[in-house]
Amino acid sequence: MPLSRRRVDLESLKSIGGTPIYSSNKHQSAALISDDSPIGICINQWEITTHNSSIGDEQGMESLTLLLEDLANSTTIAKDKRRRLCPPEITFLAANISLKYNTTEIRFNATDALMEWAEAHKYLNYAFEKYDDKDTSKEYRGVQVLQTKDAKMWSEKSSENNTTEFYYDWTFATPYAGTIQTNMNDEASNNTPAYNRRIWKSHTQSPIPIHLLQDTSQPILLYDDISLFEDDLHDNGDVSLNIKIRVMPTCWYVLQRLFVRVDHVCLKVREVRMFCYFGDDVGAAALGIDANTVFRDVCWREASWEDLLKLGLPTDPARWRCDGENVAGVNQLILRLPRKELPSDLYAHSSVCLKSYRKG
Amino acid sequence: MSSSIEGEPSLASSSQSSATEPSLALVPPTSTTAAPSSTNNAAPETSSSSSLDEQIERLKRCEYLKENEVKSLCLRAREILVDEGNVQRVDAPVTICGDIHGQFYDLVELFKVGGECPDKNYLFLGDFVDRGYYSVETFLLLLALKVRYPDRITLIRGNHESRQITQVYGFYDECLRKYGSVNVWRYCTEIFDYLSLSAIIEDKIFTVHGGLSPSINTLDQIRVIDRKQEVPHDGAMCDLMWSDPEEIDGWGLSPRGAGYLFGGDVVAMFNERNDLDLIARAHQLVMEGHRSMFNDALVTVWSAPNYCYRCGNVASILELDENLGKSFKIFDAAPNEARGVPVKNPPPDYFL
Amino acid sequence: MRAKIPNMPSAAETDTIIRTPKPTDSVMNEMIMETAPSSTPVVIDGEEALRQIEHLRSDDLSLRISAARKLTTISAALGPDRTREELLPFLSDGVDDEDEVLEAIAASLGELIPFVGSTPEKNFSASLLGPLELLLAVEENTVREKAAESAIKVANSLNDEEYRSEFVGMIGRLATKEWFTARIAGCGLIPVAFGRMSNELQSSHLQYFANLCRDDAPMVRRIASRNLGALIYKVAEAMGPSSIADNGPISTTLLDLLELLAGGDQPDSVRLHTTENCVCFGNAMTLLKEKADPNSMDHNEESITTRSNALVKRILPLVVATIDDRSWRVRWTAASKFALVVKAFSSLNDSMDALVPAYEKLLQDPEAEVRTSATLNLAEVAKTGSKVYPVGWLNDDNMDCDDLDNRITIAERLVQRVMTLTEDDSENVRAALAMVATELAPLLGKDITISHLLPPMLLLLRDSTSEVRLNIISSLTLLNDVIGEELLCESLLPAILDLAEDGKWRIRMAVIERMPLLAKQLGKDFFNDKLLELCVGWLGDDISSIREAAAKNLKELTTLLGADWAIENLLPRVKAVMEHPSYLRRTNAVQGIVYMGSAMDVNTTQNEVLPILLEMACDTVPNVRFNVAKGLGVLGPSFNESVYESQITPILDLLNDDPDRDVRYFAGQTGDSLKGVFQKEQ
Repeated sequence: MPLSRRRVDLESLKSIGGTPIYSSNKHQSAALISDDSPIGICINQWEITTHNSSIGDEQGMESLTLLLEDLANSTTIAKDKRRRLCPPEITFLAANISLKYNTTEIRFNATDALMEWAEAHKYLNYAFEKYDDKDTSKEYRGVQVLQTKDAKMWSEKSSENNTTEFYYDWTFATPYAGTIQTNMNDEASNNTPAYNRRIWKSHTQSPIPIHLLQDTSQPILLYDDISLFEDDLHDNGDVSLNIKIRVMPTCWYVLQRLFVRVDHVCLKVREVRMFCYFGDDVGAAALGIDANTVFRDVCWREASWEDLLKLGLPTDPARWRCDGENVAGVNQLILRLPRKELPSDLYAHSSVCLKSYRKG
Repeated sequence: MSSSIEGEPSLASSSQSSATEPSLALVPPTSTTAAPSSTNNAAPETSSSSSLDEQIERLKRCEYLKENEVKSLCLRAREILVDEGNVQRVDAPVTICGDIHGQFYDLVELFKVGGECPDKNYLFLGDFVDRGYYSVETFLLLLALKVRYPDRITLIRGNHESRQITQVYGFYDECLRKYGSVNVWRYCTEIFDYLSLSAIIEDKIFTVHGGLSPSINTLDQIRVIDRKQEVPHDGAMCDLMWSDPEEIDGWGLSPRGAGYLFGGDVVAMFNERNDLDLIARAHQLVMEGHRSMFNDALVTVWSAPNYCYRCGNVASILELDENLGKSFKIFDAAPNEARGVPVKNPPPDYFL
Repeated sequence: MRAKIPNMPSAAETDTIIRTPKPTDSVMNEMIMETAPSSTPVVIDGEEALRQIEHLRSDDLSLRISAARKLTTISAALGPDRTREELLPFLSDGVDDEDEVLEAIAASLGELIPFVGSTPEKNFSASLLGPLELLLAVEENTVREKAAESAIKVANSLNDEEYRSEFVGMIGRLATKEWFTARIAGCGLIPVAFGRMSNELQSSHLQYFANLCRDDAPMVRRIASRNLGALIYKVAEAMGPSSIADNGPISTTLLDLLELLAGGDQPDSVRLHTTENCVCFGNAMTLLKEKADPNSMDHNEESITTRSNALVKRILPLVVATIDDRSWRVRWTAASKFALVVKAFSSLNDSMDALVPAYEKLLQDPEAEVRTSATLNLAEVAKTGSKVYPVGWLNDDNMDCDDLDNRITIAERLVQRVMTLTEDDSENVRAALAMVATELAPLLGKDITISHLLPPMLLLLRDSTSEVRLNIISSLTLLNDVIGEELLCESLLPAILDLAEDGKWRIRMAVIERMPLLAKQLGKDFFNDKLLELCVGWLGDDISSIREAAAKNLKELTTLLGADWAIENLLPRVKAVMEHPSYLRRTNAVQGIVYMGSAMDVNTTQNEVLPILLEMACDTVPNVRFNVAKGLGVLGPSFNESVYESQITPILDLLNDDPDRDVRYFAGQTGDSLKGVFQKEQ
C-alpha cells in the first residue's frame, strides 16, 4: 500500500522532552504503516500528526464531487445550468497534516484545498471561449478555465456535433494556503473560509529565519512528505499538490507546493511556506520574532510556453516532469519562472499570533 | 497537425503501399521464418520457439532483452500484427486486462492470479508502458508472448502506445537509460503503430482502450481506419483511445477542450446497432479495480494495483468463460519480497 | 576542467591493432571486449579507441562515463608505455568532476594491470596506484570504494617489496592526509594490508590507526570503528599469541581503542560498531586458542587461555553496555548480532551470567524492532551449551554454593520469557517468536516442553495475525517430535481451517505447501477426516496460483498416502472438477490428474488415470486440449509400447490435426519426445 515517508526520531525527541503520538485506531493504521510506529509527536504544547492515505474510493469521491459542485454553483442557479466538475483522478482523500496548539488547529488536506478551488468557480464566466491569458475576467483567485493546445480544433468540431461542454479549471490550480481554525472545539464560530483569509496580518518582508532552518545540526524530530492530489490532466501535463513538514527541537516548518504543467500551454507553481518557533522567549527574541506566532510566505510563479522560449527555459515537457531524478533540476528551473501577482486577499508575507487564541 | 513525429521512419511492411524505407528491415524478414498466417497449418518453427521460450523466461525474471533481440522480436511481431483487423476477433474464454503502465511485478502478480499464458487466454486493453519503472520489460514480455502464442494473447493499443506520449511520461527515458540509445524505443513505437485498435469477443463484447467516438456508429467504420500511424490528435482513431464515459446525455466535450465524453444513451444506441451485450474498456483509474456504468452496458477494467506505487488502489481482471460468464478477480500489488528490490524511502531532508 | 588527452596512435597504427597482453593463442574476436581478461588477446579497432578518447573529454556525461568504463580499450590501443606515460598522468590530473565518471575510472583502473606492461626486472602495475591514490581521497564514497577495490587488486599483483614500498606507503600517506576522506580510505586499507607488512610497518600503521580512532572528524572515527574489529582479527592472525602478550598490540593498544570508540561521548554512528567489534575480538581469541600448537608445552597453551580470558573480562562490560545504549540503532545492532556475541564468548563460562540477562533485557526493549530482532535469535542463543544461574539467583546470597548444581541451561532460563513474548503488542515480534520458539523443544526435553513451551505455542496458534499462525504451523515438527502429535491435533485444526480461508491468497498458498507435511505428521485418518476436503476444495479457488498449487499437491499426497487412497479419495473429486463449466478450472484439473498419475505405479496410472486424461482431449477449449498433450508427454514414457501405440498415438494424431496451432505444437512436441523414448527401446 502507499509508502509512508514519515520519520520520527524517537531518540532525539525523548532527549528534548517530547513524546511520540500513537494511533488510537490500531486497526486502521496497521494497514498503511508498519505496526506501532508513531503517527506524530507532542512537543512544547504542539501536537503534530501526519497521515498518508490511499486514493478515495468510489463513494468518497462521489460525495466530494457533490460537495465541490455545491460550492461552485450559487444556490439560485437553475438545475440544468449548474456547473459540473470533477475532482482530480488521484485524490488522497484522507491524507493530512495537522498542527494543534491550544484551541487552534492548522491543517492541510485535499478536501479543504479543493473546496477553495471549487468556490472560485462561482465568480468565473459561465462561458468557454478561446483561451486568452490577458483576459482577467476569466480568472478568479488564480482559478481559470484553460484549454489544451488542440482545443481550438476541437471546439470547431464540437459545434458540428452538438455536444455538451464542461467549463471548469481542470488543472485544479487552487489558491489554497493551508487551513487555520482558531477555535476548533466550536465548529460554528468564525471558521469560514473568509475568516480564514482575514485572520492573517500582512508584513512587508518575510520574518522566517532561514538560517535557523539551514542549521543541519538540529535534528529533524518528525518528517513527512505527503501528496494531497495528483492528476495527469489526461496526459496533457501534470498537476500535483504536495506538502512536506519537518519539526525541529524549537520550530516547525511546512512547505506546500502546487505544480501545474499544461504541455505547450503554461506552467504554474504556487508555494506556501509556514513556520512557527516554539522555543523559549529568549530564543525567539534572539531571532527577532515572537514564539508561537505562525508566519506564512506565499509565492506564485507562472509562465506560458511562449514565456519559456523568451526566458531561455526548456520547452520540452519531459524536462519539467517532477519525478525521479528530475526533481532537483526542476527545483532549480522553477526559481527562474517569473513571479505572479497574488490575489488581494492573499499576502506574500503574513502572520497569525496564536497566543491570543486560548481556552476560555 | 502532423500525425507522426517528423523524421521518424514509419514501419511499413513490403505489403504496404507506403514507400518509406522500413527501419527494421535490416534483418530480412524472410530469413527468420515464413509468416505464420491463419491458414498456415504447419506448427511454428521449433528452433525459433525455443529461443523465444528462453527469452520469455528471461523477461519473466525482469531481465530485459539485448537490443538485437528486441529488433528481431519486433520484426516477428510485425508480421503477426499486420494481419490483425482493427476490430480483432477474439474467442471466449478469455481474460480481459486493463492498464499495466510498466508495473512489471504487478503484471507477474496478475498472471499468478489469472493463470499463466498460454494456459489461460488474455486480452490486454493497452497502456502497457509509461509511469512504472519497468515499461521495457513489461511491453517486451507481452510482445514476446504475443509472438510465441498469437492465438492465446491479444494486445490492443492504448493512448500511451504513442511516440509523443512516451517521450513525456517515461518509456523513452527508460529505454535511453537501460540501453544507452533510443533504438529500442524506436522499434517498440514502430510496433505500436501495428497494434489493433479494438477487439470483439464472440460478436458480443466490444473492447477498446478509451471508448466510443461520435464519428463511429458501426464496427465496420472502425474496420476501415488506416491504423498504421502515430495516434492522431483528433478523429475516430484518437477517440477510441481517449474518450471517457460520463453520466451525461449524448456527447460531451472534456473540460480540457479536447477529447470526448459519452453518455449512457450513446452506449445503449451503439450496443443495439451493433448487436452487442457489453463494452469493456480501461483508461481510467478506479480505486476498486473495476466499475460498471449505464446498467452494466459498459465496464471499466483497471489492472495496475497501487498505481504509480502510491495510489493504494486494488486492480482487477475480468474473466470470461466459454459461455461469456463474467467474473472479476481483484488483486493487490505484489508484496515487496516478490519485487526483489526494496522500495527506497528517501531520508528526511532539510528542505527550504 | 578537461585536461589534455594523449594523442592517438597515427593512422597507420589505428587500422587494426592487435594487443596480446600475454601472447597465447590468437582467437580473433570481432567485438571489442568491455573488460579484457588478461589471458585473452584483444583485437582493437583503433577507431573505436580513438572514439573513446574523444568521449573522455566530451561534454556529454553519458559518453564520458561509457568511455571511462572502456579504459582497457584505450590502453590496448595506446600500448603499455604510452598508457603509463600519457594515459595515467592524464587520469591523475583532475580529469573530471562528475562522480559517475570517476567511479567508472576507479573501477577500470583495476582492469588495467595487464595493460601497463612488465619486464622480468620490473612490474609496472604499481604505476596504477598513482591515479588510484587521488581517487581514494575524493569526496564521493562510491568512488573511493571502487578505487579501494582496484587498489587491492593492483596490490595483490605486486611482490612483497613493492607491496610494502608502494601500497603500504600509499596507505600511510592516506592515513595522515589533511583531507578527511583520504583518512577514511586509510582506515579501510590498514587491516587489509596488515598481514603483509614488516614488523616496523606494522607498528607504525597501528599508530596511524590509533590516531584515526582519535580523529577530530566523527566521520573518520566512524569508519575507524567499523574497521577496528577486522584489524584486531588481522593482528591476531598475523602475530599469533604474541599479539595478546602483556606488551602485545591487542593488550596495549587495540582494546583501549575498542573502549574509546564504545564510549558514551561518541556519536551513535561510532558506537554502532561496538557489537560487531566485540564479536571480532571474541573470534580472534578463539582463533588464537585453536592455533595454539598442541605439541608445545602445556603451560604455553594455558597461558593463552588465561590471558585471553582476562581480556574477555575486560570487553564484556562493553557488550553489556550496548544493551542499555541510548540509541535504538545501537541496541538493534546488538539484538540482531547477539547469537554471534554469545558464540564468540561461549568459551568463557562466567560470561553467560552477564550476557544472558543482557539478552533478556533486549527481549523487553521499548522498541519493537529491537525486540523482533532479539527474538529471532532466541533459539541460537539458547543452543549455546553453557549453563547459567536461574533468574534471581545472584541476588540472593548463594554465591558460595556449588556452581554446577545450581546452574541451568540457557534454554531452560529463556523458556520462561516465551509466555511474555506471546503477548507482545507487535505482531512482528510474535511472528518472529512463532518462527523460532519450537526450536527450544529438543533442548528442553519432553517434560519442560509440555509444562513451559506448549502453553505459549497454543496461544500463538490462536493469534489474531495470520502470519503468526502460519509461522507456528510451519515450525511445529520440532514440537511434535518431542511431545508427540496427539497433544497438538486438537488445537491445530481450528488454526489450519481458519488459515485455509484467509483472504490473502499468499497465506492460503503457504497452508497448501504445508499440507503434505501435516499429512505426514498427523496421519492418514486425521487427514481424511479433517483436511482432505480442504485440499480438494482449493482446486476450485478463485486464484489460479492456488489451483495450480492444489494440483501439484495431489502428487505429494498420492506419494505420501498411496495410490489406492488417491483413487478412492482424490480421483472422484478431480473428475468432478473436469466437468466444471469454466476452462479455468478444467485446465488445472487436467494438470492435477497428471501430477497424480506421475506418483502412481504404471498399472494404476494406465487403468485409472490415462482414460480420463484421454477423454479430455476432446474438450471444446484448446487450452484444455494442449494441456492433455503436455500431460501425455509427462506420463507417456512410463507406459509399455502397446499402450503407447493403441491408446496414446491415436489421440496424439487427433491433436496433431487440431484446428488450433498451439494444440498442434504441443502434440508435436509430445509426439517427438515419445517417439524418441519408444524407438530407443526397440
